[in-house]
Amino acid sequence: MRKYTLLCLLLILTTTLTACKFLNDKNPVEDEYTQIRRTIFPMDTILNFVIQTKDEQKANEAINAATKEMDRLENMLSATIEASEVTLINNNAGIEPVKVSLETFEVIEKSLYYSEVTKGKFDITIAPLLKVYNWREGDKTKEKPPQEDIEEAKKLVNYKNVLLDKENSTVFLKHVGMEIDLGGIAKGYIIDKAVDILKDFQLEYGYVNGGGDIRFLGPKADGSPWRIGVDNPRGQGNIAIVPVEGKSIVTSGDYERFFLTEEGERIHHIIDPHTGTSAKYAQSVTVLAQNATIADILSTSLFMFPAEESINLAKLFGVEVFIIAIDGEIAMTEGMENIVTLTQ
Amino acid sequence: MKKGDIVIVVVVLILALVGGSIYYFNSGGPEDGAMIVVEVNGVEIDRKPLVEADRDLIEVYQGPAGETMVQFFQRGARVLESDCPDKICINFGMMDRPALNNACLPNRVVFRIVGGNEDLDINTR
Repeated sequence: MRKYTLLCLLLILTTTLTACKFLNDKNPVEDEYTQIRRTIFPMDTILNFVIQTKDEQKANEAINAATKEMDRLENMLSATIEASEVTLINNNAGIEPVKVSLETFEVIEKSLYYSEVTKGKFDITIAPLLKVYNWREGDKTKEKPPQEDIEEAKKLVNYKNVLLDKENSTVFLKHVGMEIDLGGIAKGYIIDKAVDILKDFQLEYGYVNGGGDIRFLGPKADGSPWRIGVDNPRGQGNIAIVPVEGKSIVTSGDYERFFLTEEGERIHHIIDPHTGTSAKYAQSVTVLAQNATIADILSTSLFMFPAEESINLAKLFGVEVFIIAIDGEIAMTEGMENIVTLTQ
Repeated sequence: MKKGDIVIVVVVLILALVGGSIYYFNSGGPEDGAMIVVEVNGVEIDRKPLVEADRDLIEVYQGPAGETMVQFFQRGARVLESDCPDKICINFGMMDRPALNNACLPNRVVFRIVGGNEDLDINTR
């Protein structure tokens, strides 16, 4: 009798320990996956590939292919690369239309659509105005640019003066001095193209994070969603956690690149094309969208509207938004409310 | 069942419960061994356990644009000086969350915390 009892007890002990091991691993399938990470520096930013895979070689090949495609697209879409198509368009402003690749045409066409639906808040012709603020030279300038310079630059900003000819695949800027800058869309677009390539290699678990524009391939290898912390713009740590799988999340904030004038005015890099000054309604706007192109465009555009209007626009575009208004109040779409966890 | 059997049953069940709990709560959890990893040009060149870092620990990393001086603390790290034009890396302040990176972009110096007990994969900011 005692022998059988001991045997049973040993069985219970073994079962318990095995069960504990199983619980601790959360999902044993995950053990078969390796997480690989690669950092590169395209588009004046830091970009991470993070892939959970059973086949490291395949993942590395996919990342190589994605990187190559990103280089190719950046060389067409960057306004800071001398030989890019965008530079060519800018150099021919007021002179003649420029024939461009399908990709450049697609990005500009998409930009103009979002200009129209955001009532001109998203505007790729904002480049002359950004130059007045001199962000590309860094944050050394601690004085607001003179109002006359802002007004002068504003005259050149109007997306309606970008003329597209789909049949001939040409782009023409109507006036001399006009310039386009695809900074509000190109990063998202390029990340989406990179993710398409990773998916072509049958990679399912991972993400691409290009300077805060994050696009996920799917859930994590253990089947759970990725957990994203939303920074507290005026304090320490995270203000919220958003679970995401297979979508894109992008935040625009007034705290990343800014300076305070002597009068205490916060001048940041999200410039409203209509006023010529930094947008005033929000501290941060986080957009959760089906892809990085849309999330990139809308995180900047929705920053320029009062919270209620942003939420209405988000509903119209079918995206979720999490807003920290300039007074610190939090507002969000219903879909976001259902998934977000506030931590502060 | 005899009295001795009952004692053995109780002892073994307690052992199973305690042993299992210790195993579950202490083996391989994310709170084990938080490290700060430094990469230059995409290649990892330094890795320090956070618990050993303190405010006197300063390292200088050489990148393509010059030098980046990083100060390590027990909860993170920050850039003190860097030979870059914009100083965004310095303005970033303390990098103290596992899901975050800080970087001196012109100098290709990136540092991040791996491990730690924060249950997040990445930060958006």
